[in-house]
Amino acid sequence: MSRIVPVVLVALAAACGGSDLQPVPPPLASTALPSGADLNPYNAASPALSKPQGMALGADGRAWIALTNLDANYSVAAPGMLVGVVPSTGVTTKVGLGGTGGHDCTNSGGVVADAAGTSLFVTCTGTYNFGGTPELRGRGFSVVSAGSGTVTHHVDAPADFQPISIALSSTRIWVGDALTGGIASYDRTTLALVDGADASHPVITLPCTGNLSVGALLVVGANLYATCSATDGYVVQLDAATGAIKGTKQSVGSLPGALALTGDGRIAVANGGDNSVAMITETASGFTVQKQAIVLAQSAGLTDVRARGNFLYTDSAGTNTVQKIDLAAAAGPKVVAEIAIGDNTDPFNVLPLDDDHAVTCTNVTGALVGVDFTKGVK
Amino acid sequence: MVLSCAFGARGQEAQGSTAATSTIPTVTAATTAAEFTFPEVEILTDPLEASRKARAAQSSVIDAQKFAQEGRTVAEMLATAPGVVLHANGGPMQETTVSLRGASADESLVLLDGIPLQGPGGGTVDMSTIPSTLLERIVVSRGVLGAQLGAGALGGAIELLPREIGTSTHGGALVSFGSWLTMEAAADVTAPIGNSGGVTAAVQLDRSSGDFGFARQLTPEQPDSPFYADTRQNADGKRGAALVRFEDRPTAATRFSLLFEGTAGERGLPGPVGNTTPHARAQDQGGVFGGQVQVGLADTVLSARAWVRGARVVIDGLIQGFADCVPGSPGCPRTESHTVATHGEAEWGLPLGAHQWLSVLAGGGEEWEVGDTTGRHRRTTATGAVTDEVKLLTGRLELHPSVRLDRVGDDTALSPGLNVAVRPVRALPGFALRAGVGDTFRAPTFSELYLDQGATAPNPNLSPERATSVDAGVSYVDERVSLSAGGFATFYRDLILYDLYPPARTKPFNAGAARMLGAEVQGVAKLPLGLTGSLAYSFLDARSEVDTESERGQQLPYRPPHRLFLRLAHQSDRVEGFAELIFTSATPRNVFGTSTLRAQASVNAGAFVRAIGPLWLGAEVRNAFDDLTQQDLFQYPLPGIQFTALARARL
Repeated sequence: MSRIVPVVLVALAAACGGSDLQPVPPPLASTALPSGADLNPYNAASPALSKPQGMALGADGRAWIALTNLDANYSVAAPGMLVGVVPSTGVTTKVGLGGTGGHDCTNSGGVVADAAGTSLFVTCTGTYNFGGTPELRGRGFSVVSAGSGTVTHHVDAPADFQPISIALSSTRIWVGDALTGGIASYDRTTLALVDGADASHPVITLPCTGNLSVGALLVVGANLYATCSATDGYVVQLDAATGAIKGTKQSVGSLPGALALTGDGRIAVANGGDNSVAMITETASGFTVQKQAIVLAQSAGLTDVRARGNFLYTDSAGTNTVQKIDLAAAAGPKVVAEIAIGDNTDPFNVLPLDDDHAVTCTNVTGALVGVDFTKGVK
Repeated sequence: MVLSCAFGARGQEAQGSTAATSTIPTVTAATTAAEFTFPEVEILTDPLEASRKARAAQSSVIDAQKFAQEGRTVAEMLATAPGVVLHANGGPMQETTVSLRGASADESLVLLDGIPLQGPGGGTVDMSTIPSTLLERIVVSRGVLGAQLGAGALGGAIELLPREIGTSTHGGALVSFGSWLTMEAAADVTAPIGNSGGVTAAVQLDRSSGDFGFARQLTPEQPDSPFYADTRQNADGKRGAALVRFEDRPTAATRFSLLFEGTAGERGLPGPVGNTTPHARAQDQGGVFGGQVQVGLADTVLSARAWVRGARVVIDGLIQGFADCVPGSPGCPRTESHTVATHGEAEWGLPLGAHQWLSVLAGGGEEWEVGDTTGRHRRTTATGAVTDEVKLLTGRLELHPSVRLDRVGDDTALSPGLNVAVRPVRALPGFALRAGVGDTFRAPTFSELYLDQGATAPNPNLSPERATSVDAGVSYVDERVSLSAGGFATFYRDLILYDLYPPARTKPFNAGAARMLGAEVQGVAKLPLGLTGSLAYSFLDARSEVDTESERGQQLPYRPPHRLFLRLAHQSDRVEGFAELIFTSATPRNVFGTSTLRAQASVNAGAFVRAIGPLWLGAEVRNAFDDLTQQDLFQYPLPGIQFTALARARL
């Protein structure tokens, strides 16, 4: 999943200084995401499960959540869907991504907003065929207008490519593959496929081996960072304009699944396998990695990390908790607040609204849950 | 009683069904070349002679009959031996698996009367499904013992030896009642048939509501995060098991035996704390039936045996990925699998001169599985083995070379092994040095090859995993004390590991490599005042050798580096009692060095009095200090203090 949203937050916070702004209205305790018939299942007898997979913040403060709409067997059961929720009121906007035939975009997952927060780019992974008959429908990405809540564009993926992560640079849209270490790119203006367009412009292959996906992409300045999300995980730095790989991959931990730009210019990497956060520092010649900069030793299933100033916010899906981490604590990074979301909820993505409030979408219960780090779950 | 381990009498003991204490006359097939004597107290059995099949291996003997009178489960009995690690999914009657010397559960062979309980479908044996009162004794042999005990014994093997048949009619019964409505009722009877045979039958019934209390942290990353009280839900279980064994010796040189063991159970699947599955249920039924014939021909022994093992497992209401549903509701998954395995083999044992006994074995069988999530599969098995036993220096030097060829489906592999023992001091026949080396394999299971469900992907291209081990030790046994100590090194390669299969599944690959270094100490001593003291200590340094930056050199998870068992017991004709300590050091929870399960200790105690005639009454307490924070596997809590009242009688 792309993590460009924190860049927007950091820029906004820095520009506004914060002192003259009205505080962000606190989020509701819980807002149910669409489920059942509201997911428009293809077959009512095989309903889709309301499982959020990605979340981004729009310019108007709405949280935009991608629902995969898979069933219990990871089969596509309904068209992809993007849901916008006003955290403080629970007002929900539902954007179906299936198009006319219902199969334009399926298994929607990664979401990123543009710098203005007015357009949302959501990946469409399509059917996991797992060695079966390839199902080419539903793969690519869709562009949604946050203002109108409508799909403005849908672009297909290259053959044998299943997008799962997405990031935006000024000239390109970068998309990572769910089943390989491949990255495709599209022209930001025309949406024409560039890397992956044809045999002479193949998909970029990250220098990683084994069973991996490109779980997260992040553009920072002139660089694109991509994770080789495998048991032995790496981060690769690429040129955000051309896709050229810079330097060598660097080990970050196990199953890196999210990237976030912090207030001090570093990049946080959430590793779901070893429940650690690695910190990347850009250098003139590339980047350095501090592995296990933060270890959440009693947590399980670290699925997301977001940044706001010197704070990190993480989701631990296996232990149903979200954490707030102070990177500037005197003795080093420290968990300064932790909130239990509730048993059997599986918080999957977290989005800070201000320093002390956040929302998290829950993968099992299909809800957007408000979090007050000064008190607990709202 | 003095046990005679006559050299030439090995052949009829080869299947482990004739334990050393059998009172039925044995087949005499050869003259005695050398003879050792042992004290009759079974806990002081010479470890070198503990296993009939894996002689001179590093072994421990557990007197199942004695522990069963304390209401112990098989898993609790195994905890008394070094080199053993148990993993429990919670409290009474929940799944419990065992691993030896750091091997995984599917690399630690479990045999019931010589019949492997590892099914072709999955590789682990749930020890909670094995009723303890149906067993006579348990032999835990550690090391790579595929040559002696069969493919799959990468960490060693646990031989479960069922109740024996005596020469008189007798029987017994036991009932217990304890915390969380945990109850057990067991009864057995043995009767002679004619002048040459006998039958024994035993039955055991168990149930528990399993709703024990425990303490948990909701925000464990916070310093001084408080613990909250919680109660385990959907952790109930019930089980029934029966065993019937028949044996006849129509002539002095002929023995015929039949064994049936069946078990059926049903239980809740509570899931990990925080991600519970309050509706998911599991049912299982299974059993083994086997027969054996042994005939003494001149100075040789010819034996043949056959067995069939079957199992049915139903999982109801479990959805992959932290969820469940009400069984029977629309769309709620129910998976069912059936496995059957048959095997037949013949073995010929013959003396080669006065100091050597050679056994040649050949056999084969079939394995089937039909499952909703695996499909329908079948494969053949074939085995050939040659085992030699050589005694030199008037029996003070023993050599036990073995080689075994196994074919499982399309996989064929050799398992060589050698155990050597020497008793260097003639005046100290109980003092021995031993060493062993072995290499063996484990074929992939049907589940690893074909299970295609939710987040688990199949890999039909898997190869067998292999292990090579070397160990050495010293032991001493006399009338009052039994001591053994040893060290080992085991090297694993082509280990089958479930790795990420992007984006959301895992798939098994031959990607693993590991090495284990360890040491084991066991001691039993008869003390004054009718007391017996026991000690078992294990040290294990289990490291991953997977060639990745994240895992290389890291400690393997859930292999505690230190484990200690201490027990003090008293036995007399009117009063019995025990107190014991089980300590497990801090244990890695993952292979990345980022998470650790804290050290844990439990104190258990019990007391029994003979109230009237053969009736004994007793009470036990487990986890006496009521530590409510203990866990085994991550997010699977263990019970706090547990009380049990028992009544038993033997006639």
